[in-house]
Amino acid sequence: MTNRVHAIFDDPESARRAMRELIAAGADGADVTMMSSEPYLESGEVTSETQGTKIPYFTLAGGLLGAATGFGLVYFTAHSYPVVTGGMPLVPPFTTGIVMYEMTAMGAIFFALARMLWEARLLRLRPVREDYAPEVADGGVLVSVRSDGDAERWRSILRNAGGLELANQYRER
Amino acid sequence: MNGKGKQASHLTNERINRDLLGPVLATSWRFYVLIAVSGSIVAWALFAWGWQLYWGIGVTGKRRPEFWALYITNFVFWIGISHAGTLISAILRVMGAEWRRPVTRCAEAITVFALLIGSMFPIIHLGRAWLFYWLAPYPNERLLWPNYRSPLMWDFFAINAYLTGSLIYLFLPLIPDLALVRDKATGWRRQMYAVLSLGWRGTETQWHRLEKAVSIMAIIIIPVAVSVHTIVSWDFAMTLNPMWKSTIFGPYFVVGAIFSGIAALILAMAVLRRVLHLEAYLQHKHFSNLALLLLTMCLLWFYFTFAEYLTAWYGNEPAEMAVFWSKVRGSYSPLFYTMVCCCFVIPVPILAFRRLRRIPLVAFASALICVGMWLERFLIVVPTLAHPRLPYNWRGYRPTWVELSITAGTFAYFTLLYALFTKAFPIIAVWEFKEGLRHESAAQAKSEAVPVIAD
Repeated sequence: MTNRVHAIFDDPESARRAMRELIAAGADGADVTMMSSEPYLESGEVTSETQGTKIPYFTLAGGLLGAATGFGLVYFTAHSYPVVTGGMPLVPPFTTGIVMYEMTAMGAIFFALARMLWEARLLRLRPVREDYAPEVADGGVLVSVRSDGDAERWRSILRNAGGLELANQYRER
Repeated sequence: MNGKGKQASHLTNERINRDLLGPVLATSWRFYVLIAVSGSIVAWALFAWGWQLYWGIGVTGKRRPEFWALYITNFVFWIGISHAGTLISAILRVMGAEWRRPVTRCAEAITVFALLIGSMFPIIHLGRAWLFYWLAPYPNERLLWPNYRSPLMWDFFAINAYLTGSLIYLFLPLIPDLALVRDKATGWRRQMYAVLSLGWRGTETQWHRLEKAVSIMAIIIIPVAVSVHTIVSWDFAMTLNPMWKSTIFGPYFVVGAIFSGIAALILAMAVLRRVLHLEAYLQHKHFSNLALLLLTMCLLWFYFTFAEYLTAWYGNEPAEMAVFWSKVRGSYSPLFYTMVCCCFVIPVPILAFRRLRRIPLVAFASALICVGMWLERFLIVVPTLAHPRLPYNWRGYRPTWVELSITAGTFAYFTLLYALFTKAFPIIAVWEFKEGLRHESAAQAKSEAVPVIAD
């Protein structure tokens, strides 16, 4: 279990101020996290957490793979059992295009979802038990910072910035 | 005006959580009554279907030449209703319409349940329903290969793509709210919501990735939604039957689907607003905006219907005229004129005049539109099949108790699924609503800060 210091703030501005002070005092940006029950992305970011998403590229790749799968499904099925079509094409472009269209969408959706889950580090329950506080649900903004020997310093900064320090993160009810 | 006095700006974080999570965390006796009533009707419908499976498809009113009747009517109707949610939600999200926030989840849930119900009908329609998996495109050793040139196979792909996309599009924005319920619930519910919320903590990365993914999904899902009902229309338009072979059937069906979908959404919202006391959330402005959208679709639907009937009448082709006259002055004319009244004559003044555009009246007009659009689907499917090109095959169609029971059962099933969803999940997106309130007050503060130039 990673040692972390947590403090809850009433508003995102105070939380961001505390995060800036923590980073100015030497905390690594990657070790400081803000958690809230609603997004505050419009008020600017302190760390680089929201940069560098590859979801659009994965969506594109998924779409291309879906289209290829759609074509392959039609092509190989038709050629595995070539029905008599009276001279008409076995893999007509119009009808194959419809299957490819739907498979493109399916591929794009699945890949976007998979990449989103990966980048957001979802499907993992452990961080919730170790690095979270249910006070977030009441509208509080939680700031969490990794504390390898600097716990007292971080506590003092968070307290001075107006944060209410939390003793333990996730109390089982 | 109902609910006009209650402004969302007075809502506190605590009250929003209490109001919107309340139905999930506490259960009223009315919920059990609803479940018992709708569950009983569903049970009766299941009995009717069991009867059909045991005695064969002959227990229905389907005879030569009407091989597609009530079941395919229901299929087209429910797939149409599914356009209420994901499509409308996605369009509003892409356009950045702020008022969408309390509406989106109600709408997206309709899509998923309507699609589930709609996609049951091709299976119910089959004589030997247990062989439904033959529709699926998988290699097999029976030398039965799926025909990719058939619109029925396109249906399989389109409906599956739309259902998958809609489920994901419904689930993604639900994750933060599931985490909210997790933090408020106790006991086994807490465990259940902990699993469902996938470990959501609301970090900046998670919010950013969620919004990115939802935006991308919204863009992808719009063309898929349009394709679904276009392909459903091609089930008909690709045949050479009178009044089916039409180049505008695709857009005609899509317009009809969005039209009936918005009507279903308004109806669901009106019921939720009253039953769950959501007056402060589902306000008059939401109904008014949707009513204007409904009016637009109503006029578009009328235009397409007029174009369809005009070209059939002007062409004066004997086979087409037989179908045409059966609807306009024949045995189907009572249904036809009821459809016109329900879809156009009565709703237009209600939706067009601001004084009439009140929540109960808009809900009434929406209910009429749902009835009218069901009749429209029936009038597309049955009269054409009842009047094939060879007149000695003409025959009337009368549904049996089996078909009527199954039809009633699907409406009850929809109610049941929607009630269970409302019980298990917040029917209004809590985080989206709070975010909208914040945007609203920020915009208000900005407008107040603009200096007024004195005369």
